[in-house]
Amino acid sequence: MTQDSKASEPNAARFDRRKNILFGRDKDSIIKGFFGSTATVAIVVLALITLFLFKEGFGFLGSYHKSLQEYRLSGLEYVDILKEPRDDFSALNRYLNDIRAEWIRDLNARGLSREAVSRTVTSPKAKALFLSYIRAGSQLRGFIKKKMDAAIEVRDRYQTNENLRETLQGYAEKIEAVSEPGYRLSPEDRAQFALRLKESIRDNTLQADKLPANQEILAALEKGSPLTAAAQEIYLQLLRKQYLKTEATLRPVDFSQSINTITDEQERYAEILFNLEMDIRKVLKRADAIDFENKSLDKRIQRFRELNDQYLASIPKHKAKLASWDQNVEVPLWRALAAFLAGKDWVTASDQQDWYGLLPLLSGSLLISLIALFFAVPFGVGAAIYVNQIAGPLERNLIKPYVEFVSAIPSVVIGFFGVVVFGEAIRLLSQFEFMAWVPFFPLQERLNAFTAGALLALMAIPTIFTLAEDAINNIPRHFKEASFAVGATRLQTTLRVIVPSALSGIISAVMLGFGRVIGETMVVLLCAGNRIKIPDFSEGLGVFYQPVHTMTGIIAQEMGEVVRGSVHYRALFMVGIVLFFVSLLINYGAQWVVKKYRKVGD
Amino acid sequence: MNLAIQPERPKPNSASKAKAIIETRDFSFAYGPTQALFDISMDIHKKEVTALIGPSGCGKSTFLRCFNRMNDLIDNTRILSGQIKISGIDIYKRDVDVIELRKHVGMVFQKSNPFPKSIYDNIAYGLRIQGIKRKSELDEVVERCLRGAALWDEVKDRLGDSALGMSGGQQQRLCIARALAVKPKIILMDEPCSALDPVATAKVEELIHGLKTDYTIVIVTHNMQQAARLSDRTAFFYLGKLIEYGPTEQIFMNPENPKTEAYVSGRFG
Repeated sequence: MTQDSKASEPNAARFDRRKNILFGRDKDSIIKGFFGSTATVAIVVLALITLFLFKEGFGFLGSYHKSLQEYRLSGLEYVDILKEPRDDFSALNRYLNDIRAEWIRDLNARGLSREAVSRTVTSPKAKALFLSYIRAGSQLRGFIKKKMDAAIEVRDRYQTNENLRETLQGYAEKIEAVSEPGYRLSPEDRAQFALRLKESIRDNTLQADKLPANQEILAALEKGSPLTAAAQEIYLQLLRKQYLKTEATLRPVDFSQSINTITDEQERYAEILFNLEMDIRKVLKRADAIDFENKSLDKRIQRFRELNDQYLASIPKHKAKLASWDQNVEVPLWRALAAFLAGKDWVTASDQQDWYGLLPLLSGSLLISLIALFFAVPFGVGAAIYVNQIAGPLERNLIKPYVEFVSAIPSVVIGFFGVVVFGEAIRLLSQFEFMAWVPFFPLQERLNAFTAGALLALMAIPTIFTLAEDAINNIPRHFKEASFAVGATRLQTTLRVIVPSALSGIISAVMLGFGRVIGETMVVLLCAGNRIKIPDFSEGLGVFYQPVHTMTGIIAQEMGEVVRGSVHYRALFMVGIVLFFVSLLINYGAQWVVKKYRKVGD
Repeated sequence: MNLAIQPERPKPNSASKAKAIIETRDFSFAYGPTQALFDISMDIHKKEVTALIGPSGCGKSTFLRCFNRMNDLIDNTRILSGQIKISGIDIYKRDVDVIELRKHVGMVFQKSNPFPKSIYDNIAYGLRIQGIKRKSELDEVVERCLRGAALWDEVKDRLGDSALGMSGGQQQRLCIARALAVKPKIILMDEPCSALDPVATAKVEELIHGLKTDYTIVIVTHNMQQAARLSDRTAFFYLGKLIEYGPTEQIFMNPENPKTEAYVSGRFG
């Protein structure tokens, strides 16, 4: 019938109904649904990752704040203030030792015999300076050691208590649960029960007449057969006993009391400082008796005097600082954040106080990125310009795949190459005489920011090259033609028309290269030297040859061995969040640059 | 009926050879394996407008781009035979200074292509790349060229604005002004009005007409009326060959070749 009607109406309109394929949906909407759902899944996964990162990281502030609070309450902070003059004094000692070493070198250089040198250096006059100076600080060192030990002990006891309280809490909950009528022992309970029972039998803490009954229960436990209510009662008793035993080991810490052992002996401390000052002055007076017969040494001794004067002048300030310290002042919450963001130390697993300061890591990351971009930008952008504007088709077909191929090298391979070949080569090279003109050669460290930066440049070049080349390639050909048509050379066309037009794309390529560099982990972990310290910028360009640690490196290195949920664990997540924001900022910046400076129409 | 493939030399040419500024002899040109131009010989005369017409792909644009060696920018192009002389110099000679040639032979493209710079900078570009930095000199040339391109009154108050903010017709006239800045003798125009509306087209045509007194203009166009209106001479190309070349009047009114006749009367193309 229908066939008939169709045959009779060959021109009947065919758009009266959509063709269903699956569950009443046509092909288009199925394809749309497929792509839509994959996009949704990607977004949801990303959102979950972000959420997780923030959840783990934000607990950091609370726990770090608590840790800082304990640091103050336990008196460790006070001890750290006490330590300042000691540390300064040690630095002065090192300076003096340096002078002594130089003096010995100088004497040797003058051709004195070994005996003569040692006679001069250990002469009573010299001893009066060098040895007496070291001895001057012994009282101070002893005093501070005592106070530090006291503070550490308080802190340790407090932390042990905290842990015990947690254990007790667990016992209390268990006891409560077991004493509920109708509670059935879980396998975990049974194991615990058997363990405790065995202990009791071994230690004979139960009455002798109950022994056979207990053996019976033990047998039942091991067989896995059900227990009587009486047996369960014994379990409860054992738990209670354990609770009491643990509670007995608790030795509560009263910070307001314990602080006295640290802050007492104020007069003694003042006396020590006074003696120190007297001793230093005495020693310095004796220094005049030694004739170094060398101008630069005289100058250094003079400088040493000045430093000592400064040191002694700073002591009243130190005393004032000690006096103003108050255990009872609450540590504000923002201090935890400030100590993280602006902290100069990253010290973990310390016997005193752990510090989670971002600055050494951030400065390391930025320093390495700077070095990497210093190399990668000229090479990447230059290669892009060359390949797109100057090279012939043959060269283009050679260079482009090769540069892009570099990005296919696994970063661990590049890192390995850096450790074994590049770092070593640079160090060996730096030790040749003819390289001495390069500042800061010869190098001491094989692994340093420069090694890592140079290798990261290698990884950033393909990114910068590819994106910059795309940007240049997107410049319409007619700009080039227009420029040539008024008699511009190739170089003029490239520099005055092509590059300025592609500048936004080139800048964003550089920024994405920066993002690539700052997020790179393996190479920096292997090659940067991993010394957690803010690079010493006072060395000028020498800062490039210092070992540093990075934000990515520290996460990779420490995440594996950290206790889950600890302050340290959360601190690593905070570093991750910072890294996340840095990358976000860079990407956003790159997009902003492209949008803002896009000049070219079509 | 004259069926000869080789076009008849137009009379003015033979009359005064001294007037020819571009002389092409047996010029053949190829893109890779594809030959695009076959043995072209024609003379273009000083201070005249010469139109190159023909259907798409006939090689007229290619031919035009040979005059300032713009085809050098395309990979795999080569000259098979013949030569082009401009002002008596073979421009494909080995030691020709292409940069100077392009200053001598300016070009305006099909699509207006001002640089993404200000109007002022667009025109000053040609001078700046020659190392001219004096503001007064640049100012003077910019004004001269904008006046020359009949654009001065429209843009004199916004010389610092981006050239990309101008209308399509203005942009094209700016491109002409830019070409004038380096004082060329010849201006090549590759379908300069194809992207413009009739009003803008009329303005550009008027401009071209005015420029004729100072410059030699070679224009490629698809628009037969335009060729008829503007040019003194017209060359008809078909499949890479020059079919007929002569005074415009003759090509349009009394073509010798039946193909020309068919094309100009709109029967194909």
